[in-house]
Amino acid sequence: MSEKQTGEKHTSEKHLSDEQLAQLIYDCEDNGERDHLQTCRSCRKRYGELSAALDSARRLPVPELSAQERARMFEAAWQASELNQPERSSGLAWPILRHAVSFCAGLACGAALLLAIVSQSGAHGFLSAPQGEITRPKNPIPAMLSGTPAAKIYSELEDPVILIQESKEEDDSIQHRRVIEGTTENGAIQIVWNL
Amino acid sequence: MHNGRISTDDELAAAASGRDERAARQLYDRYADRVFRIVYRVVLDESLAKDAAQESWIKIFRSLKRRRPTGSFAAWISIISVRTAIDLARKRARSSGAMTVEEMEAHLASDDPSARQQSAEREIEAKVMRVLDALPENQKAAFILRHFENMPLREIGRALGCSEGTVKAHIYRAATAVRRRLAKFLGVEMKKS
Repeated sequence: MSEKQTGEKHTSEKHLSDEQLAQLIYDCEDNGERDHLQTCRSCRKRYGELSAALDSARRLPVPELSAQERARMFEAAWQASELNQPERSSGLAWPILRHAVSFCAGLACGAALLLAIVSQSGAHGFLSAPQGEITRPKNPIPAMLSGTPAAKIYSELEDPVILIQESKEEDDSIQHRRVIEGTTENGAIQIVWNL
Repeated sequence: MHNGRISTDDELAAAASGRDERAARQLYDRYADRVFRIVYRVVLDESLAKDAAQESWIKIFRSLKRRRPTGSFAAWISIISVRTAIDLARKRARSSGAMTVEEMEAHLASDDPSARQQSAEREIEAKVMRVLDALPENQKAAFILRHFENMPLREIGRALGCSEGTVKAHIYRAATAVRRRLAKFLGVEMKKS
């Protein structure tokens, strides 16, 4: 077919290329191609094949979503979109506030730790091991989370793991997100913690 | 917004981005079928298409605030859907256990008499699925958005980050691939009938 397309001529005109045939279908552009189709049996055949093939592609059946499936999908997407959460009422821009909160939390944790060490050293001598009723968090908190609000969440999860995920945004940029995954008493949970 | 007047897509989108669930649901009802249709044609697997549709809607709802209503809402969600489906298909690499296009084709081409008794229509479907599946991602996206959704070339170009000329080239190449793959088969079918 391709040899014929490039080599064979009809009434001093070259056969239409595949691109020209597709152009006739999609763009309705006509620079004399339709006249050529009238007189060239080979191109007419290829044009017919193209139309038939594209029609058959269009008839490819698509399964239908049940009403239940549709409703479930909406609920899941709406919940996950976080648009169902009440809006943050602070007048400050959230990115600024988030850093401020992280900083304050870190400061508070540091102060609490210092206080605990000082009080322990007063009772049992400096750096002595904690005794008896002091409860430890379920999971040792990784350094990267230390002093962040995520640390508390991390310590309360069963089998928590931290993953770095790449997500492609609409503008093609790649965003890295730090994700904490773990299980609460109520079931599986995934927490996204932006880098 | 809900006083009986039919709201536009942009009005509903603005309301939904302000956490109005009813508006979001209305928007969803308008476009749920379209989104599912698009993602199914990309992934060609019902189970995966459901995941892709849900993921698309999460992205749509999350992106509502950032959306600038310069183009049509329908085009915007079509673009998100097709890209989400392509991403998901790439990640999952058909781990769902459903019959893949290759398996379906092999099944139809086998010596099993029951397979040979499959209707011609099923065979054409398998061929169409095979050829769509084999298209490069951008070709597939451009072809689906143009051929099935009739999206303007300019919108497709904006979605794929390329010129109208490149979009045309993608579509023409995809169309040619479809013809080459199916022409002989369709010819046989025409002779049969």
